[in-house]
Amino acid sequence: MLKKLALIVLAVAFLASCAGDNTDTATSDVTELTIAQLNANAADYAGKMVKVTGTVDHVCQHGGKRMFLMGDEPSDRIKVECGDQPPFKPEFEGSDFTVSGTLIELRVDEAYLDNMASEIQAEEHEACPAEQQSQDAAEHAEHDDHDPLAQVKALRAKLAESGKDFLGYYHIECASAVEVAAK
Amino acid sequence: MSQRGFKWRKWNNILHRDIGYLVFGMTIIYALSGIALNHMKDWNPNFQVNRRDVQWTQGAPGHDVNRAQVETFLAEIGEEGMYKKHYYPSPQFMKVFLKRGSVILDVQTGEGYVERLQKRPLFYEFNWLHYNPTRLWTWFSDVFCGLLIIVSITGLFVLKGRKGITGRGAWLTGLGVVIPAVFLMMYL
Repeated sequence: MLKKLALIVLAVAFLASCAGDNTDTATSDVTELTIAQLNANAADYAGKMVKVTGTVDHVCQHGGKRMFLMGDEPSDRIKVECGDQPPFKPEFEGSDFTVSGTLIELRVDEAYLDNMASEIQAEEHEACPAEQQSQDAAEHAEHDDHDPLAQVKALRAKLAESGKDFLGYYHIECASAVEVAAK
Repeated sequence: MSQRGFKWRKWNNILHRDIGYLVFGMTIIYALSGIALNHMKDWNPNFQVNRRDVQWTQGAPGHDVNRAQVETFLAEIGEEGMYKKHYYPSPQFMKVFLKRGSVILDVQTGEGYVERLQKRPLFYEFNWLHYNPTRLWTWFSDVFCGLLIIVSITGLFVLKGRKGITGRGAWLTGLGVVIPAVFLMMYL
């Protein structure tokens, strides 16, 4: 009985050790860049494994599912989502991290914006028919924290200015995040 | 002794009791965090934000402040040893990352504030679980919800008679279904 158990344990340990061989292959497929390089050529890396190092500027306070890494310049920023990894901690803010993961692209084109606008309009129509009747537009607008339709309008203008078929928004789906020791 | 039919009520009550014990902890966690997260617009459910005003003491910081100068300033405002990093998010402001906090300063006036986030005891931990931190927890909470369904259904049949599901229970259960149904009809 014990011999059989030992054989099973050895077999499981052998299989588990085989699983570790993938890391070498995975590492060679990862492209290491600065955040500035990544932002400048993000479309080329969409769907691929990338590795960047930066300072954590902000960790989402609601669950820590996303954080923002900053490069040498404050304008060089990339969003990182934790994906299947454990959530990011607020203590990460101000620390340097090396993040590896897949660069995910969100394409915002005219169809996307049309869909977004109709969803916003549908929500506004259903949410407050009583308010639309009894309050004047100025009072209603005063209580709005933001105007989603104005945001859609701004995105349309940006799309038109770019001369491209779509605007690309990128984030890294984290596979690993390792703190860089402070100098 | 003749054998009676399957004693379903006995097993119903056993299930209700034992699963009830099992899900007690998780129910408290999800209920408390649910209330906390429900009122996210009224308060920060995870952190207490403590803010105090500070003033750069050597004129205005400007745009060329080095680490040593920032550390001296931090010592003056009672944050010695808390320095992590500093940078300029915009031409108007300087931000200093502290251990578990930050300082924002106007580079021209030197005015600013220290902001510290203090985790709300229990709420921070409970809310963290409610946010589904890992896939494993997602599966675990699915099982918990399944157990809640069993506890709810078995609870309907614990008592017999006028205090059971055919008596008072029918009214109260009906009310518990009618209220969400009315909300759905009104707002969906």
